[in-house]
Amino acid sequence: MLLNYLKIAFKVLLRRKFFTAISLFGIGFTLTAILVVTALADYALAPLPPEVNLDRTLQIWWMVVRQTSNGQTREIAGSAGYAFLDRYARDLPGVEKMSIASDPFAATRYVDGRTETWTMRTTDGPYWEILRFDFLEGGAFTEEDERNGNRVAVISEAARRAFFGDRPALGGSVELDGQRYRVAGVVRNVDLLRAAAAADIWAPHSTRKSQDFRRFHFASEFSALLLARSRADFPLIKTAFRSRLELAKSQESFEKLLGTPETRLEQFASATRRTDTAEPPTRMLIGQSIGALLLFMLLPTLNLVSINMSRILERSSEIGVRKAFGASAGHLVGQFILENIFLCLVGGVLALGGTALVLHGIAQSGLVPHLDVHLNYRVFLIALGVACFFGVLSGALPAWQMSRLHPVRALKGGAR
Amino acid sequence: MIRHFFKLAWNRRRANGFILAELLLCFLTLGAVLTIACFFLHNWRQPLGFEYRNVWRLDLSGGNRFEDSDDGQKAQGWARVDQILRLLRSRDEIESVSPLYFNVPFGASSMLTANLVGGTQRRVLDNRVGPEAREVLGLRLVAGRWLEPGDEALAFRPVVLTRNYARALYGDGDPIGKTLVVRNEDGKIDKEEERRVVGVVEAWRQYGELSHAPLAQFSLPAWGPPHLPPGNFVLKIRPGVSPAFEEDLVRAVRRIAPDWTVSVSSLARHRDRLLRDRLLPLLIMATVAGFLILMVGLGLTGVLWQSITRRTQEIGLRRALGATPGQIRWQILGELLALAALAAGAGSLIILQAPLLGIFDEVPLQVYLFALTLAALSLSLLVVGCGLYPSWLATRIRPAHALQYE
Repeated sequence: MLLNYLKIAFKVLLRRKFFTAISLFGIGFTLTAILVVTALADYALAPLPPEVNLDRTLQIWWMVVRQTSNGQTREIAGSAGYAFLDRYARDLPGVEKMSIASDPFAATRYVDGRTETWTMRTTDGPYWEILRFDFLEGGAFTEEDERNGNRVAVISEAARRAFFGDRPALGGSVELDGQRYRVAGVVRNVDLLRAAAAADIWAPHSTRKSQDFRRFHFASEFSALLLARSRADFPLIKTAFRSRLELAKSQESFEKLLGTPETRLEQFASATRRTDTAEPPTRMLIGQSIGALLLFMLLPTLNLVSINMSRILERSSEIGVRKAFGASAGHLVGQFILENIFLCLVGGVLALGGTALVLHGIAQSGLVPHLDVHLNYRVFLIALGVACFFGVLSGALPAWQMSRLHPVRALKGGAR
Repeated sequence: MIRHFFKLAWNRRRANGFILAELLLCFLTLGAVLTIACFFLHNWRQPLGFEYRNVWRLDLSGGNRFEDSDDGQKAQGWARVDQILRLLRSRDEIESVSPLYFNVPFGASSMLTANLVGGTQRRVLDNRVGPEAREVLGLRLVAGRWLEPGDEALAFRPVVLTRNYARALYGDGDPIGKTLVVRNEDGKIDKEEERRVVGVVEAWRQYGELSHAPLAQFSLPAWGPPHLPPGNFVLKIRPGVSPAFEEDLVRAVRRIAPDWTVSVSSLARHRDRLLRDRLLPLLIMATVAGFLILMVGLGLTGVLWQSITRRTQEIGLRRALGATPGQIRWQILGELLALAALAAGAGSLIILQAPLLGIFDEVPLQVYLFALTLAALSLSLLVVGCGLYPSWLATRIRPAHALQYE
């Protein structure tokens, strides 16, 4: 039966090639757009190297503070400071490893009178245990280097090419912002979407020119990475950090202190709307994304529905015959929706090809340096789901319309 | 005639309902993209207010520049800043130098103050600049005078406003000599030292050519400890200076302040980056919208084609009664244009809610009107384009053949 339906569907698709082509173009384009966004979102949230532990990592990166000093009340919203994280975010229960890392900043060097800007971060030792970089040469620097202020650095593949050509860099040195660092290791390039890892040069905090950052509590562009023993410990860690905030409030005369360790998804959510609440609006982000998806699909759906409507009328004599021989409305609806899903699946296959092309184009364009996103089984499953959903959505109304056709009229040619 | 088209469209309301909904969504998409594009174009044609060619920025950051540093550190910070300024002024490659606080052209961070203007709380860029800033950045004075050395000794604090801020505060009246009253949200006057408007400059488009013109005011910074030393400088570079001078300059400044982070970059570079950041989202939106519209166009052609083959009798009858092929074609296209007009009307009503409710109040009404007119024209072009082939098919229907059909 099912095979029969598919056969009919295939024959119908071949009969009016122009209609089939425009339907497929619409479906293919719509699904491609959705899949590109899905693939990028999936890539940003997946535990991929060097963020292999992303599943059980929390990050403290955004705080709101109100403080009155010398009669002046100031409210700062922004990244945390080293001093605060060092004093209040260490040794939280449920946390296996903790690292304080700076946000990426620009470091320059001059080559033949040209300025070259590199993205740099300063980190500590545990950073290299929470994040697992792919070392091409050498290895990470250690907590020992951080304590002793050793001028060592880990550089990316791209930085190695720029500084050393294609020669090995280990043991060589790089000069940035007027400071010389010995190269301890070279890692594979990391793109911006691996947010906690992305940089070109990493060096210990203690090599910073000014060590004043150790005094500042807020807004000096540091964040903490907390590696939990398991995801189940997240609520425990969050609660513990909240009581640390209370402690800090009592010790340091802060009037307001907000901030929470967040998963990557929660980070995206709180970046979209910086609310004054402690909890990131994750549900809202997901709701908005689904809303945007449905809104985007509205026009393609309408387009497909109106094409389907006119196609069905063309097939009215076939429907008339089937009705005259006793096919129920339900049967016909089922058959038509199935046909439409079949069409959408063919469009979905086209869309997978289109998505691969677009992703390749993004990688080639260099718009986001080093970004190279590929399709995977999750995106494939989502493609399958969205294609079926799209098929039902755009097939239901025409199918219902068709099932109501009066057999006599339908046989006559189905006007109105 | 036109009423007749609407009547015909109404008679086939079920089939046309879908087309109408599609056209409406198409119009909304077109309207949104074109409004942004027209807004950018409108902004691009306004004066920038400053000159960015051959201007570099020098940025300092480091511990003892922060607000919570103690007096000794502040004194050291100021001593270094004075030394750096002397160095910059002594170099032949640099024509002029001015210190700035945060508000650097095309820069992301900004120092703002707020004022109640025309009943709403508006953000105003609070530019603390040296008297040399006018020369460095080529600011164009349209009334009064610029800030001068020695202004600190006056009994009031002189301020220069941008033209849009002056107009917002004083309408068409002469702003020169007026006291600048700053009110906070509940309408109370912010008590501070008296500020008096001494001049008006053309504009200060800190966020670049594609963004709206922000309100801005200029005044001299409070100089010396216990205040905060400046962290940004703009330098007017003599034309023809080699880029290698940048490295030279950075090294010289680093020698004065070894533990500060020093960076030098040209304003032109920041402008390029800002333009890219603004244009890229528009480009992506336009590409997606283009594909959506192409899709609708193809779909519409298919649906029309189908409907022509179903209206053979109706068209055959009209032909038999003496309608020319031109009239038939005009009937098909007229029905389509009637639908497009309906969609454009409804869509405009929806989009015009934005200016009426003041949602994006930087966008002037004329931008919306222009963009919506453009969108309506493109939609008409689209439907005519889709209708050309099907309507040609309709003219080919032979009356005898059509009437025989039943």
